[in-house]
Amino acid sequence: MIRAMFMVMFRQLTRDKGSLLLTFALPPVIFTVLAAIFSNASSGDLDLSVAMATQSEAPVTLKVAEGLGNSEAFELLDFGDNAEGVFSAVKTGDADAGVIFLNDLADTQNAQINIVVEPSRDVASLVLAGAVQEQLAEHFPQKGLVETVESMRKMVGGFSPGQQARIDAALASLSGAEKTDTNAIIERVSALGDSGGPVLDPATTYYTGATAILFLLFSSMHSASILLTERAQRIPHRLFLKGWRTFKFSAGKFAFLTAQGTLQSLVIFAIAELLFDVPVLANLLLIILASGAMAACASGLALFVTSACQSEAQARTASTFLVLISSAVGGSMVPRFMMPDWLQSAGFLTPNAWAIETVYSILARGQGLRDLLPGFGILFGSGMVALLLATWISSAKLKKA
Amino acid sequence: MAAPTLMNRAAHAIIPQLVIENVCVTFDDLEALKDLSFSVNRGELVGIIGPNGAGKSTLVNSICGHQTIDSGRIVVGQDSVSPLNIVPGLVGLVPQEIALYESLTAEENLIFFARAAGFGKADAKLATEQALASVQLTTHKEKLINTLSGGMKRRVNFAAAILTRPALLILDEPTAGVDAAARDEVMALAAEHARQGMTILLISHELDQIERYCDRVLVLNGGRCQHFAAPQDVLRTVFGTAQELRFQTEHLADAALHKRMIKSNLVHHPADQCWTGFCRTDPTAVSQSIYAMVSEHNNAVREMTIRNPGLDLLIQSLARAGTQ
Repeated sequence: MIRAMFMVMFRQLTRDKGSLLLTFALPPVIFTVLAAIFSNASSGDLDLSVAMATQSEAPVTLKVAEGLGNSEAFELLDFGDNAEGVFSAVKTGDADAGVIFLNDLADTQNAQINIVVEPSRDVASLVLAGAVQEQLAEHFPQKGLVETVESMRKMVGGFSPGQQARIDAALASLSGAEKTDTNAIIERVSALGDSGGPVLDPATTYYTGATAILFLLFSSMHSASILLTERAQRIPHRLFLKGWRTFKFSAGKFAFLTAQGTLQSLVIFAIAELLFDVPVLANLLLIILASGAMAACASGLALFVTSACQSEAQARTASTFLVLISSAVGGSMVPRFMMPDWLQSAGFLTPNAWAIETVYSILARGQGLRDLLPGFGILFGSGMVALLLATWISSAKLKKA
Repeated sequence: MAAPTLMNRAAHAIIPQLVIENVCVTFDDLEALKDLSFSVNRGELVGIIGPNGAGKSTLVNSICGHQTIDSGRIVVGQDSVSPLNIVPGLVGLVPQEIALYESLTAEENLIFFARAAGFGKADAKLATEQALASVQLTTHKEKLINTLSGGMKRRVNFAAAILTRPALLILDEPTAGVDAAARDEVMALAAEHARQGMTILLISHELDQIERYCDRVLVLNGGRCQHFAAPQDVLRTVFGTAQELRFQTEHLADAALHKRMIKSNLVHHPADQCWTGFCRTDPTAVSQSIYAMVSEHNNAVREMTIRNPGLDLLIQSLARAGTQ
């Protein structure tokens, strides 16, 4: 009996290609993707892109900039002496952080380096600052020594006058320069500027969009399963759906799911405004448009995935896998800049990445409708394409049934 | 309720409502329908039967416009039917499944189907009221489908198909898996609507229902029309005056009894202890001879019936011929 039952289960599994795929093929794929994301995020070995501008021709400054440019830790976007370009690149997300060498670093009284920070990618700016300090230490060893001396002073409770005199003499002999603290040279400036309003929590702002699209996908997939119930009950047969009428049948569901999703997103945005001071009301019209575009995208994809499935059980499993993968790769779990390059690129194949970028551009970057049109277009357009595909699949399945 | 016949529908003119002309449908190498032709008149209730693979589903799908035909013509009412031009509401379909939204009320379901067929809001409401009245469910119209009894669900399922007063109503196994009471309810509804002039095709494996309710029966076999006539005429053509003989022995027959029985030409289908055959002469004499033959082999007849052959026997013999 045990053997017989074992064989029944074995044969069922081996003859069900869907189950085989879910059991043996998808777990390794998901493991690979998640491992790639989280190992990269936790190792500190980030694939960052850095925008750089050098406004001084001084040899020391150029040397430090060159050293930074040669670093393998970054992909460097060189903006020449265009500081505005650096701010813009960081603000729009083309670069994770930026560095601007404002003047001659040898001029120890006035030397200044600006690290351009995008609040949601603060980690990137910290890594960049560390790399800049490394370059400074390399080219100005006395600066590193000064910092070491300061640390030791704190540890031993101060030096004797004789000790201090010897230290000063040693530093002077190294470069003839005055004592300098590298931290004092580096100033962190926000790419988003000062809005004058309440201080924006970048993480909350980021995860407002990230959470909204994640749950939009889940709820749309769940609601779209009605399509399979209808198919099992032969309701499309009863309605004699053909061509344009099949589209209208799908479009009715699409319209409802989009309305439901828009409302769902707006609830999340309202909570973000009320509890976390995310500036939703100040951008209400754009947020409504973004919610609609995200919901349309999620609805179309949900109908497409569901229409391609044979049963509700299959749709449940497939949609869970797809939403998890899309959310992981698209940045709903971990910001995409912390992922390897190939995953960052792959992220733009997911609705999550576009939704997060669009919402963040509205709430944090203050971008207007014109700047947001590509994001809106891709979200809404992909939803419509998915709806058409869902209609086509439904028609084909109706013919086969 | 007495089964209606063409005779008591004399008020309806003999107008072809469904015309099938030389229809052929082929799937890869399989000819599902082979040069099929027949027509059904307004107010007729026609049963379509046949063994598995006879082409019943292909025929229904072709009439509903779900299946492209390779050649021939299908006309419903005044309209030629093809997958590209099926007119919503022209054909009503009652599928085997309860094709309704479980979490909507009966009324909400019917309004949806009426609207989907292109009715305006007021017309949909009116059609819904009429359909609910015709299946005697007006008092239950506000109940959710998942709270209705099986019989009531079947009636709403039926009502959804007649909302548009279709030129042709197709009942595709409408009583499969339901209890006798619900089955009778549905069939009585179909008969009543046919009496009122609706043209109905009934696809069913409940062959006693076909015999009881249908004016004519189309017997399909291997995609061809084997017979198309009133059920009794079909049976008379196939079986003549022979009666169906069924009996059961107490014990399994030994080889000698088995051989004698077959040789006697009384039975043709032994299976374990159950025997079927034809009784072509005096039933009393035949039964006495079987009793005697069985007892000579130290066995006994437990039960014996002799009856007029039904459509079930016809389908069984077609299926047997197909497998042989």
